[in-house]
Amino acid sequence: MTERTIFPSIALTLALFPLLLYPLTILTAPISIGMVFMGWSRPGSLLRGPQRWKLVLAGIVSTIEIAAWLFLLAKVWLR
Amino acid sequence: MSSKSGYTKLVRQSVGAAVYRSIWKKDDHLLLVSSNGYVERYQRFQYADIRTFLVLPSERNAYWAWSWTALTLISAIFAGSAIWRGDTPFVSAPFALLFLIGLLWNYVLGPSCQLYLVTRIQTLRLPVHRRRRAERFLEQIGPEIAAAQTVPEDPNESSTADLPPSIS
Repeated sequence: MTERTIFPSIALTLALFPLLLYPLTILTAPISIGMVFMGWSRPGSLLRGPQRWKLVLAGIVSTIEIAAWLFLLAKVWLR
Repeated sequence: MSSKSGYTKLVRQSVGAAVYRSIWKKDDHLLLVSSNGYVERYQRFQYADIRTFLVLPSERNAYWAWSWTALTLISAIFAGSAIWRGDTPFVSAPFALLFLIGLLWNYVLGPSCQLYLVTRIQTLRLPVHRRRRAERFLEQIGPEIAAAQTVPEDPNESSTADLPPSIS
């Protein structure tokens, strides 16, 4: 028996689901970015292939989340 | 349905809330996949290694029938009592209908079974729970297994070649 970790699904879940409870994104967005980098060079699912579109989408959403937090923190700090 | 890597899906069955098992076929092997969406576990079975499949009857169909029947009756009793009181059964009647659909669906799916794959070193239960689906599954992979296990006859080989030498 062999197993594979499906990083694209993990990255996308970490990017999208915490939006329901948005303060969590301050933690999950960087982790999602990390998963994107970890999963980029891995083979992914044996059946569905590397699914890079999920990694790209997760990367874009997580980057927007991080940018939004930086913007918010900068705004509070400069007030 | 075929995947990007050339596998054809034969069966997909949920196991619990967030885990599913599926069986895929390729030219020379079956692939049993267990997945929770984030980790996939694979077991590969070469057609040539498969000894047999066992299809055994199971009580699953009866358990589901009893469960759906009990739930339908309970909901129908609540609905009936609401109507008796002159109320409209807003909650119990839809539930009774839902459970009745479940009961009919269980009947439509037909008799239940357990399907086992037997190789030389293991016997493994496959995620197939209905006899009709099991028969369809066996029809789908039957030709591949037969082709993989057919031994071409060698006309030059003597039928006594494997016999031990005789000592006189």
